[in-house]
Amino acid sequence: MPLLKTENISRAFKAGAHTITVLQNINITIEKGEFVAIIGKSGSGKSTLMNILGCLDVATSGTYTIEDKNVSHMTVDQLAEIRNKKIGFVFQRYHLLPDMTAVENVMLPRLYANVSEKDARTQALQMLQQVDLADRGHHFPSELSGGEQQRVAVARALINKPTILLADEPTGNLDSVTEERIMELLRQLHKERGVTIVLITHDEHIAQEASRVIKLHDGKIIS
Amino acid sequence: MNVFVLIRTSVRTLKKHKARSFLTILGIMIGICAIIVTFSIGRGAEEAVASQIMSMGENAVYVMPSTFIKHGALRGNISTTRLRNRDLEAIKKQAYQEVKEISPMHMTVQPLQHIGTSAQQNVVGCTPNMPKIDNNKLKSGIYFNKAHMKNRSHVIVLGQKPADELFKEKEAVGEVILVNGVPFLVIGVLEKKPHYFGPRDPNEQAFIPYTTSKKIFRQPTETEDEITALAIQLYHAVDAVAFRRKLANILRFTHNMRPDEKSPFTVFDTQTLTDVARQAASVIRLFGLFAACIALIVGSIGVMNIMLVSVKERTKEIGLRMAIGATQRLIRWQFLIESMALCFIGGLVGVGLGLLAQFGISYGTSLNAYIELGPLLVSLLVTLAIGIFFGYYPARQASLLNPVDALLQR
Repeated sequence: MPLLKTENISRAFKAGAHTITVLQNINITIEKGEFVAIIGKSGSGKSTLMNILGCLDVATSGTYTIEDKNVSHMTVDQLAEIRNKKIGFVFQRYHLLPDMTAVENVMLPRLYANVSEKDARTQALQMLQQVDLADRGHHFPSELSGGEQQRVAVARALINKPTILLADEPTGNLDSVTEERIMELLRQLHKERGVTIVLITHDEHIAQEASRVIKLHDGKIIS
Repeated sequence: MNVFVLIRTSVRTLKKHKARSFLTILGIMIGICAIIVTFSIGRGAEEAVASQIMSMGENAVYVMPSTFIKHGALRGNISTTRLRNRDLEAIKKQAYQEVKEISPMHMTVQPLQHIGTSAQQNVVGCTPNMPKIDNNKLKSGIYFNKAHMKNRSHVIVLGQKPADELFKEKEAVGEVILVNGVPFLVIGVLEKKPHYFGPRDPNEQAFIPYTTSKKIFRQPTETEDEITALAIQLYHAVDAVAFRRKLANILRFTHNMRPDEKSPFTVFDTQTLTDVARQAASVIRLFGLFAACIALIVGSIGVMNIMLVSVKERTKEIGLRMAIGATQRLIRWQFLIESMALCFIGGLVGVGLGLLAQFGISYGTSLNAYIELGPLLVSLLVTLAIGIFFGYYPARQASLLNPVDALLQR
């Protein structure tokens, strides 16, 4: 059973009288424990693909299954549950909530999973320890560097033990030293913990970290 | 996610935007404060009315010539129909089923003097049953009796105000005062009556036997059988309005008037007076509540506006929360609780201000402050309801956002 499977997925947007097709007949199969990079230039449709894979968006046609469950016809609340339990997001711009401390940001997905506040906090602290930020838990995002913020985001993405980690340009806002640090973290998570990772990037160099590379061009897979 | 986490999140958000939160709840604060104050004033006025019912004679009726109301107690040349002894007798005879007590009144204004101090007061000549009709109680001394009436004794019972003016703190009973130069023995002083706003304030009057008054203070133009006014107490179950009709007919007959002629007498009865006063109090209260409700509604719309702005501003936060697993229901609750918290805090402050204002009002006026838990709790529940009602639309807008669009918003 593949972890993720897309069959002939297309995504089109209406812009006035025109219809813009962003993705066309995408077929991807990702197995458990894989580290896959999706690479493409800006406008190639890779962000739209990531949104669909992350259940933030729904394909116009085709079917998408996660662990053999068809996601295409789920209700918004079922999708919210999938995002909460199965998928961890790491965004280019971190997307931490500015009014909350690092711990509070990390524990949020736990709270949405109906875990008690006390347990969620303990687990969040453990997650921060794993990304080497145990002592920064009570800092607000504005008090952390870009690399630290991204590591908090990784901790948040992993706290619900998701089936898959979706990272959208996770190093896009970072300098090369910090970039290496984040990539090392992802490598480590993949090798030591067997986390399935889908990395979206425009950077060939970063994509080489992955065991498999899917190239997108103009909404189609070219290799 | 439990509700306490949501509440804490809301309070934190509101704290972060202190100035905005304060301005938002200002309308709610003013509305709730106004409601509590009008409620209090209404209660105070009603209480004043109630204590007036207690202080005025129960079911008392006062009859006097209408010109008396228009021109005062001046006699002079104003030709007018006056009450006479035969009216008193006719009422006693024909309305014995309704009339429990009846007293003629001979009212004059006289200077009262006691060692250097003097006061101009209404002096009322009446019969010994007058305190029953007026519901006057003695603070000290006694009231005059039948013997005083028969002997036309020079005895006087003072209301609170003349007693204070002539004797200050000292005991008045047993002292002699001069009424228009004639010595009178003070035999009693009446208790003070609070909240009186009837036609005759007993606090300001002095009472002497009717016979004495008629003998000494009769005006040159006044006949022996002329009565200034009549005071009547009805039996408990008698309807004052029906009695007034009967009374008008009796007086028409004794004055040889046609049934369709306008009665030259004016009748006050305490039932009607209290009804009027009570109506006035409830009109004041209703009007006040109406105005306060408008303030509250305007304030509530303000809350809705700010919540809508807040949803717009925090679109990205909403998108992120959705991305990590918040359901539409939870997003809706987050904003609902925020608007409820906003309104509730506004309500609390409003209640506090209302209580302060109440103390101010009871300090500055004769109305009592009414602090009742009921209306306060109701006000707070109302603010929560406002929070739900006016917060629902913005909260729903937030929950219906598309996670991708929300997340990508800059």
